[in-house]
Amino acid sequence: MDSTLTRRQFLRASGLTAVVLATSSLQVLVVPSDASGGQGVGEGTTLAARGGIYGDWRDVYREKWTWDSIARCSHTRANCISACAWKVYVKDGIAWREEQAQVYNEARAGAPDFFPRGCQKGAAYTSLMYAPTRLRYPLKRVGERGGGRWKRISWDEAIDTLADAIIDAAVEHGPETVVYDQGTTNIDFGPGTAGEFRLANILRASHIDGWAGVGDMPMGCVQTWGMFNCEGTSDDWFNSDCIVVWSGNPVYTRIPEVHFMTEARYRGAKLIVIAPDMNATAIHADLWVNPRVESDPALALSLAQVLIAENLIDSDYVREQTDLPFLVRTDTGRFLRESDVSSKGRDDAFYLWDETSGRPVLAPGSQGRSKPTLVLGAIRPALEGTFEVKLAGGGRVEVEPVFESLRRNLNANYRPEAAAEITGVAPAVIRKLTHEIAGAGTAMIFASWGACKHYHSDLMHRGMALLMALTGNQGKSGGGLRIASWWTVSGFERFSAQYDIKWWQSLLMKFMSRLPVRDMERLITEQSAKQLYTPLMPWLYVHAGYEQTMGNPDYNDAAGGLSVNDAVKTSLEREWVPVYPPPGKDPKVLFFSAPNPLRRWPTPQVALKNLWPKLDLIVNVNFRMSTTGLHSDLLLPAAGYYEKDSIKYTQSYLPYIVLAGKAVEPIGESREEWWIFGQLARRIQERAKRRGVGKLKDVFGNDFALTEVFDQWSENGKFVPEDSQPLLDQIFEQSEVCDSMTWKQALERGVIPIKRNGHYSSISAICTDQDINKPLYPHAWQVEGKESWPTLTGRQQFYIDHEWFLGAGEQLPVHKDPPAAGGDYPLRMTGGHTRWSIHAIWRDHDLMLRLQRGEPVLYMNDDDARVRRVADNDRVRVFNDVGTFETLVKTSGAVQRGQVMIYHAWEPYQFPGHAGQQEPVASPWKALHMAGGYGQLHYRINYGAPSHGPRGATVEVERV
Amino acid sequence: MQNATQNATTIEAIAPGAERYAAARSTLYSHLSSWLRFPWEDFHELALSGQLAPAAGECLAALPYSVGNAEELLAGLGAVEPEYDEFQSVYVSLFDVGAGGPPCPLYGGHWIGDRQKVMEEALRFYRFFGLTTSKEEKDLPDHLSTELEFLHFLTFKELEALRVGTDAGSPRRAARDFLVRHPARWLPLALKKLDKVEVQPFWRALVGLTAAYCKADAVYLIGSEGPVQE
Ligand code: SF4
Repeated sequence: MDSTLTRRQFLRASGLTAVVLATSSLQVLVVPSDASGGQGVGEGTTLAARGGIYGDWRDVYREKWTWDSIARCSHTRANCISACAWKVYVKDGIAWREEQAQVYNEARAGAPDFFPRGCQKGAAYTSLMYAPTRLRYPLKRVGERGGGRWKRISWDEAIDTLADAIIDAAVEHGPETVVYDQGTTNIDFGPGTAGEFRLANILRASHIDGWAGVGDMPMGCVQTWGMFNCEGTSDDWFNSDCIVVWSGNPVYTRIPEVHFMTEARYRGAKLIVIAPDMNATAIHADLWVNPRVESDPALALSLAQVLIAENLIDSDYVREQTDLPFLVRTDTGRFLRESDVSSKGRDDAFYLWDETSGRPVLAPGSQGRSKPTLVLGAIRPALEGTFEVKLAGGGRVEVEPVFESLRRNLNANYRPEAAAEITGVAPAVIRKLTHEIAGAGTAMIFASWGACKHYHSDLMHRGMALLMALTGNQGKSGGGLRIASWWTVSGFERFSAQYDIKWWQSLLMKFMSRLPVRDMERLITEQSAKQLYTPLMPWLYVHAGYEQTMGNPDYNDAAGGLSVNDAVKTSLEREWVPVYPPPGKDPKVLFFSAPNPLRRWPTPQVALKNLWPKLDLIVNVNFRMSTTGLHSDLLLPAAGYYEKDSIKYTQSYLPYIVLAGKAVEPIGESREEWWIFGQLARRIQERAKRRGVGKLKDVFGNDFALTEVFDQWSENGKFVPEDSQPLLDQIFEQSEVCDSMTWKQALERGVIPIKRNGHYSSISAICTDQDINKPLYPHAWQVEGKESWPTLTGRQQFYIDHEWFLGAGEQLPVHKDPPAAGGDYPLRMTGGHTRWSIHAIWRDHDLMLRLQRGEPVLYMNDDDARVRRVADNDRVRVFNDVGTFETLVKTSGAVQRGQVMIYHAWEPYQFPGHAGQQEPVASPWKALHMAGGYGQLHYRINYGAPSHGPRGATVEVERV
Repeated sequence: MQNATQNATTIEAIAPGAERYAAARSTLYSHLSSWLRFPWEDFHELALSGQLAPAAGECLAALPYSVGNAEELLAGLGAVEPEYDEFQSVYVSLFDVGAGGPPCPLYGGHWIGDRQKVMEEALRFYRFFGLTTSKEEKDLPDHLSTELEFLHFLTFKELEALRVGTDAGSPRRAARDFLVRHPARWLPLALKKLDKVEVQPFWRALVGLTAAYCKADAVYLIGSEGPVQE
């Protein structure tokens, strides 16, 4: 920068009066290295040399446009739940256009192929990366936070400011007061994310686990399966005979994958869409079922009632794979445990009633049994009846299989006629839907992340899982409830140091083909507990004043058994769910890379009011200006997707790792995240040494030294911020999913086939061995291999006898109406991911806005609009007790009466007064989600944190 | 690298006539290109020293046409915020950074639309004359500063041709077309936007001067070279 200044000084001062032209006097234009023609100032490039004269503007188009290079790229940190390979065309250091790359192998047996892949956002990234929203140099806030005034600073100043703030906070208040937010999986599996995760871990900083915080935690799957990252490859959808899209809209959200659903229809599959609104997927459906908003649990349970009543269930599957034959005491409502029957018995071993021997027998494979197997052998578990069992104390107790009480409950409350009252779906339609699912060879429910975003989302998922289990579909090709999954790229994981897998554990994993899932789950949970992962919602509750909204009893389930406030208190006391820094200690430094919390968090106004004043420094690393950027203290410009070498995160939909090469240099002074965080580590170490900072203690009381941060980060110089390639090489060397190769070799190929299933991990619970030649589906280890599920009972568990669940009446899946989260208002505000953006990225891009109304819009039923005297395109105020925002209205018969809908992720600055769509979203979460100390009910990184309900807020709408 | 002109001279030192006109036009483009780039401290010092208005005024006075009331056009150039941080922060918040982009981006493609096409054409112009954008600056072909520097280059090529007695029509026609299709086309839109937001007089004056000059120069070139091909 100094030399630039000198040059500029010279030119500006000396050039004022002089008429000068020299190639050296040009500052932004130069002679290109390939100059061989043209009429320029360079040697050999005179007018005569070219032999042509400029006539008019058409002459500049006469020269054939050629490319300097064609790079292999993808959209690495777009968080699009997909991965697509692109060719990016480069000329003169600019990425001009992209084209879908055919780099995938031919189709697998019996399935269509993966090409073409891509979406319109990806196809327009060359435009977004050069949009005026791009950050091009480091900036420091001037004036009030959020005032929108910035000053350009050097990278040295920016990094030193952050380094000093981290050192100050760590020394004065403890390292846990430094908080890193990884956000909404705006991550890659390459050096950028690895470098920042690693630094946060080394710093012993609090690391916000945002998985559940973004509303992506299917708690019903956690409660039922003990896992949720369950999907296969998307070509397996083609194998389904009946695809039920429930609470999702893949035509918008799975653009590169959804063709497999269409193609399945060509081979005779039925496509059923269950959604309150007529969405873009519903228009392709053979059957569209539109239950009232958030009445889905009742619908699912009604289907279950019909299945059982008409004996359409796969009872062998149910006996082996589920807890429905497990015996429950009718006096306490708790499972009959070995400890009930024998004084030396275990609390985590349970009984079945064996019809063959006519006595209770211990169920194999529960957590208390040594072997994780579901093999029943000669046991024939009863599903029906009541029995008497002798207790250890000498008394006798009546027991019945879970199935019996489930059936009783379904018959009592969810016959189609009763469910029709709740759901608005006619009994005949409920029966037809049941028969479609039961009559199909294989049926699957595509739920993905959509159903997680409601208050009683756990009840929705438990209902869906129940249907798939009753019909024996879970664990079959083309069948089962599908959420999503990633492949485990261990080389990335290891460098990120998310887990400190001990040598003996590695050895075990190497010599056994794999550890059983329940053991892996235990290991991950143990490792997670040693790190400072802190789930977002409880963190906001403790540190950002969210107890006012989320803790408000009026916004929570009145029949929930205990209040959220009590649940948080108890859960923290019992260390079921951690919060760092712990209550009583304020966070001091917040830094994040790519996420946009003030766009994403519910009621961001509450965070601004309560959390922001506690923070000494807020640092935002991003390639673009976001709403949160506006409220930050430092903005550090990150390189764009085509400006660095990286690896796209690897969703299991596609059996390939997609690579992203650096097509062009980062624009302006933007830098790769790998460099930013490596340089930060270096400066923290240097400055801590200079300041004589001694050993510090982390929140667990362990010693650590800021004076060694860079040595650790770089493995004593093995890695340097200036070069990410050694890490890229190492990632490919160490990742068992693919053959060992160098980064260069990998990049040449563009995509790398996934040869093996990486180990079960915090983000991958596919639980099926990968065969590159076949479509992949989840849960074969359990269903075909008869391995226990990682639940207390070792089964898909539909009965939860945790005291809190019993208190809330949710030991079995039931329907509950959602609470009035926001106050007593007549409309429910729902949403959905949009076709025109990936979260907030592309949301304000002119090419995408041109395809919509160009600004935020609320969909409202014509009848609801009429009674409020609202016409199409009117501006309205949406409000409740918590917050308000203004938007345009689109009147539409596609949404139900009583429902208003606003698609996801408009930036608050796109609304008047920067008050965005999240302002009235109280988004409470269920007290039950803080439950722990019970089999599958526990927290660990990326699992089991409270899922909140950002959709379904109660609001009113009025014309402004 | 050979310089086309090794020895710098001043506008005043050139005899009145075509060469002097070209020299004045070229120098003014050079100034504006430099002044509209990110303002480092040296530029702030220069602006504070009060040298900008005289330097621009000297060029305006030597033009073969009137750009407007020079006094009015230049008045704001003296209203320089004394604090450097404030001075650059206004530039940043006006032209470079903001919610959904800055209020007044200095990229032509933003205003004209179809950005890629605009950038491509600008680059084609540069390449036709043996130039491209600098890797060191890492900015884009449609930035105002880049466009103005290109016009500085073209007008200097005109001066050079006049001096050695070759045809000056080629750079003049190119300047005409480039002006009409690029900065003179979008600067009025940017100016309109500036008038809607609160702007310090200095930056309003600088963009206003640039817009007025580009427009007047385009009219001048059309007058001599004929209209732009449809
Ligand atoms: S943004 Fe995602 S889905 Fe779209 S093309 Fe890129 S990788 Fe594919």
